[in-house]
Amino acid sequence: MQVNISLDRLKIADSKYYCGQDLTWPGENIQNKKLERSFKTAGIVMPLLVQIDKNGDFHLVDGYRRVAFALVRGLKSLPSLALDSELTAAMILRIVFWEQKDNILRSAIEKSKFIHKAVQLDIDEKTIINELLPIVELRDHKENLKICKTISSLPASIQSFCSLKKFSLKQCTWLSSLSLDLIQNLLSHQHLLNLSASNFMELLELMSDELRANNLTPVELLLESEVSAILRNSQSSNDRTETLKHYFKEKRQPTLNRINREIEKISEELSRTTGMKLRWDTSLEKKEIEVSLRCSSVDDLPTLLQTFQKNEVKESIGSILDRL
Amino acid sequence: MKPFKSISKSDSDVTPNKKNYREGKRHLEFIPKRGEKMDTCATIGNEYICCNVKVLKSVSNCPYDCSYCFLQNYLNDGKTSVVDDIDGMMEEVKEKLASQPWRFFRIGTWELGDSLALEDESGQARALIERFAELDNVVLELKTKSANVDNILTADHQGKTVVSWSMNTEDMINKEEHLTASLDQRIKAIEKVAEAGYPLGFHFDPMILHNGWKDGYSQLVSRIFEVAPAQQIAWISIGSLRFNPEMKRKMQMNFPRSKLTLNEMVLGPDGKMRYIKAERLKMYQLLYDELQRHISPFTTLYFCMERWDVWKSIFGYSPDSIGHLDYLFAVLMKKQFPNLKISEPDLNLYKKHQDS
Repeated sequence: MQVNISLDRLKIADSKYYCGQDLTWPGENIQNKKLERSFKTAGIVMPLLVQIDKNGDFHLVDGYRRVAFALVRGLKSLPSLALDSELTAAMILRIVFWEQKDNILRSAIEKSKFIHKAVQLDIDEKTIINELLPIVELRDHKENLKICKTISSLPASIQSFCSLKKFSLKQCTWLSSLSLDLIQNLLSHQHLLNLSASNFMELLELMSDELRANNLTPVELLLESEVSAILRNSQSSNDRTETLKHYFKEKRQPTLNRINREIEKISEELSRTTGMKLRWDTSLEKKEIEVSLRCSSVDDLPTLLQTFQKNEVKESIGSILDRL
Repeated sequence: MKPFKSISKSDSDVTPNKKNYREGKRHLEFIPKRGEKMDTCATIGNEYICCNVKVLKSVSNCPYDCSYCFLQNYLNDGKTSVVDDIDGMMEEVKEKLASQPWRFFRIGTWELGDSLALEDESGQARALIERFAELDNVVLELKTKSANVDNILTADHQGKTVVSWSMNTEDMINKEEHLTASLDQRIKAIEKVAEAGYPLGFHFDPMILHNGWKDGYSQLVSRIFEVAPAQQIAWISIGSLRFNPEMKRKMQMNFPRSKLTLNEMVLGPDGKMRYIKAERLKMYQLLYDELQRHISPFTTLYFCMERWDVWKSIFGYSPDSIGHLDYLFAVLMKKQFPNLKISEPDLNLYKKHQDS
């Protein structure tokens, strides 16, 4: 049954089936520019899909972009199609999925919101696990229901960032276990940093370790003089991000870095005096060094061999091996 | 403690993935044997020396909840299972023994769980002990963090089973090895098992850096040797905390209060995070010095997943291959436990077949 529904009677963000679609116009979706041309020239022809509940309230099922446009243009009503009252919530949610497929599948955040919506609608667990999780390309695993709930309860600003950066479900899950304060504090510096998903995760991991090890708050950590100096330096955002990561790594591995610096010093001195190049495993796990000397003629070989016999070479290499 | 919400018997060893690993700790299922259950310990690799112990995967998952346990990143099948087909498993064991009569086999049931944690419910350990008692050239290893030993004390073991404990300092047991037996309980259990005449084993693995670790590990060794006769100890292993980077996140999520992941660590060539070598060496040296005051010269002392140079630095020597270490076990066990009827060890065969 197609009717014209007054927009002020329509439940939009408070619709039972709202899965977090963008309600701003034109919003972030570049497709909306094309839609706008179509709406302006042909009007809104396709009816909205709505569901009428027992109280007579109209819940928007499909047509969020049309509604967003209509609200901005000051339209009062839109053509709508009421769904059969016999349809179950699971059936309606499947309609939502097929209408919103591209949007729902574009990130783990959207998938989580969709699945969590199914839980909120009291759709039985078996149906969600066996039918809805697979259509959003998640494993049919009960644990995923909890994960989706946790991810859906992340603050909107974090969800939006994760969705934009295409965080995986695993990354979102891990993120949900961290201090929200830390995440939000780091996000508040995103204009200074190059926060790709991997950079963001790496920095969070390093900072989280630092907080836990020293019982600091995120604000205290970011206000540390060295951190502030990095955030204020004149580097590009990419270089600044690398510098910040390097700084935290150094703090987490003081012994490793000290030993590597000692080895570097010996190696540089040896290179300066003999031309010998050394390579070693900087994790200090392997007790071995690769030694190389440049040779451009067979006539060089006797001299090169003599280099290995020098006391300073033996002492330097011995000294490095002792540290490995 | 009876931690299980359900105990059941199944005709299948496959359960749909409905629950998580932790929930799976509370549902015990007895399952049939499907496929081969005997394998080589999964930690084997070329970058580090492995002891080439064989494993019989007779249990999967564990009622205990150690914060460093790799199972939290490995299992997700929503149950704890015990293979109830002892005849089937023994048939496979006998086949493997017959295929390599020159080899002395050490076979543990602990790869995916604790060998004795479920003994009250399953009686599996006792059944295996009595079946291994009939075999030569092999020893069964039951490794545990429990004190559940009463059911095996009167078993006719014929000295063919090593009962071993994974040991840690009292502080680490209390803080990181949740739901396991306390140090006092483990010490009492060791005493009982020693009195029952079983060969013993100890695994100081994972050694963990924490406040007071020096005193903790020194006291631990003293307490063990108050009740464990040195000549009864078949082997002692030493290893340090290690985990893959992905598991670090799992540990932080599952045990947010644990500070295990905060020490200085490096990613080794085997893809696992470890304490940096300088720190590992300090721990190993202390433990080795303590052990040297007590152990018999026939006890096999070895590192789990360590590099050749760590062996040399602490023990003054290193096996030159995995096969060589396997061979050394056979030599020392043959001298210490003649009743095992171990075939005369041939180093060449152990080296040639080290990958099998």
